[in-house]
Amino acid sequence: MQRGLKILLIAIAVLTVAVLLAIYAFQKPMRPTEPSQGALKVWQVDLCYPDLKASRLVKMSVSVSAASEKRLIEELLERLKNPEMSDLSPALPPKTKLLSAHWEGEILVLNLSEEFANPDFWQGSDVAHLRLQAIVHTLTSLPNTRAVRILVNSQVPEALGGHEELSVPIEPDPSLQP
Amino acid sequence: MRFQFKAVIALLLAVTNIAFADSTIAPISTPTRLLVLGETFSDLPVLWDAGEPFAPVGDWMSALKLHWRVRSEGIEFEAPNRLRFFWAKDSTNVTVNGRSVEVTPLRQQEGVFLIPLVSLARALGLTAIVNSEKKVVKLASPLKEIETSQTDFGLLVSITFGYPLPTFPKTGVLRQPDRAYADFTGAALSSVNLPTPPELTPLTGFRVGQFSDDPLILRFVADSTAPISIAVAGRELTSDGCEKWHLVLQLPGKRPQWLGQIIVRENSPTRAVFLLFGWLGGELSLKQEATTLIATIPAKPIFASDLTMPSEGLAKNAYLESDERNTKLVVELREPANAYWQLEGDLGIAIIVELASQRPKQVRLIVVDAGHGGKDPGAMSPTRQDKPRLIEKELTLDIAFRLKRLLEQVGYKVLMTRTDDTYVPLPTRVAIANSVQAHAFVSIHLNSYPQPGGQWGTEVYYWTPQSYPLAESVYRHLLALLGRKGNGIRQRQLYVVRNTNMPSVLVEACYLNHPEEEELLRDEGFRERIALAICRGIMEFFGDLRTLERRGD
Repeated sequence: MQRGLKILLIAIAVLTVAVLLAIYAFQKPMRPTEPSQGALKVWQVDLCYPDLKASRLVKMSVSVSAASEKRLIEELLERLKNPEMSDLSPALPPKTKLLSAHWEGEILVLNLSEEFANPDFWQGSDVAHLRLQAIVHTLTSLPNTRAVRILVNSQVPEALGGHEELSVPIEPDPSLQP
Repeated sequence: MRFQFKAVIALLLAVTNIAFADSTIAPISTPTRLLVLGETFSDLPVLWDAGEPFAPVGDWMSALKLHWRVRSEGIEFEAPNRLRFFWAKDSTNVTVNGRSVEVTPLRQQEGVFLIPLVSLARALGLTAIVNSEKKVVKLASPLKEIETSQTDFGLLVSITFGYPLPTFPKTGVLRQPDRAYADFTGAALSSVNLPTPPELTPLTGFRVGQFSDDPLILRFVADSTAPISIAVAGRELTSDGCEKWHLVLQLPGKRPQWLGQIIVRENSPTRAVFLLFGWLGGELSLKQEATTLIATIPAKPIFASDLTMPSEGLAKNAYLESDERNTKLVVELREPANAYWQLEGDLGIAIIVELASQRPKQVRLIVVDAGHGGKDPGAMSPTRQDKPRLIEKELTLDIAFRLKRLLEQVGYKVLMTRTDDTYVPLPTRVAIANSVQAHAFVSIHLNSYPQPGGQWGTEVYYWTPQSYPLAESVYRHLLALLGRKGNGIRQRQLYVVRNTNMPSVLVEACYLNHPEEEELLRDEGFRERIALAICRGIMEFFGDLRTLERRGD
């Protein structure tokens, strides 16, 4: 009887662990997984840059390897600051730093340094819109990312340049589909 | 037995019919497609004889704006290019304004004259393009000559055709590379010498080609290395019955006002329309005293105006008076009426006079949003030693107040999202418009480009399809009144146009950090024109332009 009870308890414990593992697996189905420290993972991303002369976004499909999601986003933001082609415009101010990044469901929440809100960078409705949308189109090309919410120093900033409202998550503007 | 009898009768009839046809050798009228200048006549019973088409006298001749009278011995013709002649029925010659023209004699079928189309074309100065296999005949006005001359207001291009065209040319501009074009419906290409563009202008060359064969459209193109504008300046008839169309090419940055010609476009018992070819930047005033309407135009016409009334109507007569600077168009009306003007695309301005509508006017509420404010200055002009910097938030408020005044003058209610230098968050601006259920929302901005001077011109933004007509009319009036380069009407998810529930647009009238546009923005008159263009765009969108009464001033 004593032995039978032990077996039953072990079976219940194994079943509980299995159920918990299954719930965990369903909660995080497709998100880019956090690789173990030091191991590099490769992501396929659509980097989008503003072509301000032509008033459109230009898309480049690239593979980016990074050791973590935060590193990946840092790498993408660095690339968005420094387009390789001279006719493309940077999508965010040069001194902007990524303070943190995490997902809330399908919304990627970026916490950026105050340089991001530099009003000089966001002048002109179309310029501001194309630049912000270049960031949003790039980051929503990551798996399971529908929109991007941007905070500056953990706060909701004023509208960028008086044009782009950041109090709500930003989705890709379909009229700018590259 | 009965069947056999019927078959024999049928066979006999068929043989008789063939024999009869062979014995008379009568040509058969065949359904033919006839293209007369811009108009198409399908299945016209045209007689084809030895490859030459003969069309019965009929409505298709109206497409040539011909007046004709059929007599027993022939047909009298009078063409819009003042050509007159009598075509005797057996004659192989007609005399057209003293010129002898060899023709194929007219035919007659069941008492109706049939006109040989190739001969008619020769007599009138048209080109006849005949395809006897496909049974298609085209009567077109042939290109004769292209000349240019430099003027104070731009380059004048004069294009001559053999016969008056049925419609005004359609003009437009294209980008990448920059070029301007004019389409002439009903015209046919012929070999002409193309003029050389003048030096020290961005123009690089001229081209001409048959843009379309059916309908016939001839396209003239001016190639350029920079944006240019094109407009119709007027038309003239030459002494030999040709029609000469004048176009003006201008650099949008340097657009002096000019007036090409004034014509009467319509005169019915309830409505009269005068067309002013030219670019006047909106500086046109109308004044009405009793039954006399006076339009004061800040330019003198380049070409002689034709103010002959095409029919009896609301306008009894019209004439021009000129002083050193202005031209006055004086119109005597049969009874007092409303008068207003509206833009007619690249053709210029139409002055419309019409009897008052009995329909009560609905009062509409417009929310005017002056961009930026308070801690958000918006764009700023570059620092200059001798001039203060322009700040976007101050100029947008100035233009917004002007727009409010203009809209209220013509009967709209106006609510502004800010009336002083305060910061109003974008969601608050949207909430104001949505909460009062405004009929339209207009956000006023001035643009900026990362590299000062790198971009210039006018843009209008919208998001919902219901906002597009408003964006289109505001954009069109801005281009016409400001004369800046048109960068387009752009659909964008900008916060204020995306989240307002009514037709809404965001206007970027010009660039604050472009040296030429910065100077223009320093001028109050230019800012007033921005407001006037937006006001007229809103009025056109609501169909209210026609109810604007201008009694007195």
